[in-house]
Amino acid sequence: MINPLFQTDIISVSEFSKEHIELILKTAQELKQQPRHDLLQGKLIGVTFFEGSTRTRLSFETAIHRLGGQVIGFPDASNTSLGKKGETLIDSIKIITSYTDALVIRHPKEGAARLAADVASVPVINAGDGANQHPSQTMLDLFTIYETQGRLEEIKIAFVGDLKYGRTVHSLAEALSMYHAKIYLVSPDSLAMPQYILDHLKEKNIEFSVHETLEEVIPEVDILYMTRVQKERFDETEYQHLRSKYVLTNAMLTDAKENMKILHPLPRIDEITLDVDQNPHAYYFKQAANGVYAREALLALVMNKEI
Amino acid sequence: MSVNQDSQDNQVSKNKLLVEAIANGTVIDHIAPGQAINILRMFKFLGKHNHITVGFNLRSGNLGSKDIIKISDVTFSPSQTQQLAILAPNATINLIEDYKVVDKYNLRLPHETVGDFKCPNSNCITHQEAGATPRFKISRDGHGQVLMRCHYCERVFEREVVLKFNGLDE
Repeated sequence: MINPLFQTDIISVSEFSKEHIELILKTAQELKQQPRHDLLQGKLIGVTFFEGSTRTRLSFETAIHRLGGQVIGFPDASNTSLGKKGETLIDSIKIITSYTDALVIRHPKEGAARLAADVASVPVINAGDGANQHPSQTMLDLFTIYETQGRLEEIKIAFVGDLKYGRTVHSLAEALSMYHAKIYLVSPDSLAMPQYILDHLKEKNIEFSVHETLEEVIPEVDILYMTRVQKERFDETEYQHLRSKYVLTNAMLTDAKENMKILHPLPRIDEITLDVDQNPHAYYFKQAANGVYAREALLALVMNKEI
Repeated sequence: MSVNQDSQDNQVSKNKLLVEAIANGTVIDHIAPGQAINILRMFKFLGKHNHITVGFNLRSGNLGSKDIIKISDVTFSPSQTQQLAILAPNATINLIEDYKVVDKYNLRLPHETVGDFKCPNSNCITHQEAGATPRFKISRDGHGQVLMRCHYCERVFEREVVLKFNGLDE
C-alpha cells in the first residue's frame, strides 16, 4: 500500500491526522532501531536555510546522509541571489527545485514554506517559517514523548516559559489535543499562551490550567516542557525577577514522578541549571538527537511509496 | 419573473424620498448598518460617475436597521459578488432593468477569497513577495463570527480585523 505521505508537502501540523502522526512515529522508531541507507539512494535534497538554524539544518543534513541521499543548499541567505541581488523567493524556489528531488526550507517570514510548496515541482518540507510552523520539531517532540512514556494518549504535560511566541509549544499543544492531553501552563502574564490556542483547546475539550510556579506542576506531570524566556523582551529588572521564577534547578525535582522527563527545544540558556543535566529526568539532549530520526522518517515517507 | 422594483422592496417604497429608484443597475439591500460606506470604498464607487443613492440606518424588519445602496449601470461579477459577501454576508442583491427587478438573490459567505484583502500579519510572506496573492479561507465560529484564515501564514483573524487592516473600518 502506498503510504499517504508519499510525494506530499510537509508544511503544517494542522494537516496531520492521527494516522499520519502514528505512521511517522512508527517509522522514526524503526529507523532508530534499524538504520536504512537505501531510502534516499540516488536522491538529491535541497536544504535551503534563508535564516540560520544550526541544529535543525545539521539534523536534516544528517538524516539525508544517513538515508543515503545527497544535499545541496545554503546555511543562510546572505550569499544567495535572493539575499544579494533581490531575486524573489518564488524564482529561487522554482530554480532550486528544478535541480532537486525534494526541498527543505527554513525562512523568517510566515507562510514562506506554503508559498514554496505552491510553486515547487517537488515535495517541500517546512523547517520553520517565522513564528508559524515547525512540523519536524513537533514530530521529534511527539516521538520523544512516545519513546519515554510508551504512549501519546492522556499525557500530562506542563509548558513553561515563553508560551506567547514559542511556536514549538503551540504546535505541540495542537498535536497533543488529538490525544486527550492534560496541559499545565506556567508563564509570566506577558508571555501567556495566546487566546486562539486556548480557544482551540476548549473546542477539543482539552483540560488545561494556568499556574504561577514550576513547583506546583512538577509532581503532577509526565512531561515538563521548558522553553527560553527571551531576555530582549523585558527590561533588566523584570527579566531578573522572571528568570528566578522560571528557572528549573535540580533541587526542584525531588517530588517528580518516576516517569517524568524534562524536554526543551534548545538552545538552553540558563532556564535549566547545569546540575539538572545529570538528573535521570533530563531528556533534552536525547530529544535533540531524536530530531535526526523524526526527520529521517519524514524524508523517507515523502520520498518512498513503501518502506 | 419581472416585478416592479418598489413593490418588490417595501422598504424602498416607504423611503422613496430617501432612496429613489434607478432605471438600470443594482440595489444592494439588507446591508448591516455601517457597512455601506465600506462597500463604496472597497469597490471605489465614489471615484466613478455612476448615479449612487445610499441609505444609512433605515428601518428593517429583519435587521432592526440596515443600509442600502442603489447604483446605476453596475452589475457585479461572480468574484465581486464574493467580495461583497465578506462585507455584507446577509445582503440581498436586486438587479434592475428598466425600473423592474429582473433578478434577486441573497449573498452567501464564500469559502475563500483571493486577492481581495491584505493579510494583517506584518510578517506574512505576502507582504514580501508580489507573486504571493493573499488568500483567506472563510468560516464562522460557534457564535456566528466570520473568521478568515490566511492560506500562507495560517493566522486566523476575525473579519473586522482584516477589514480594519485594509482601511475598511466599520
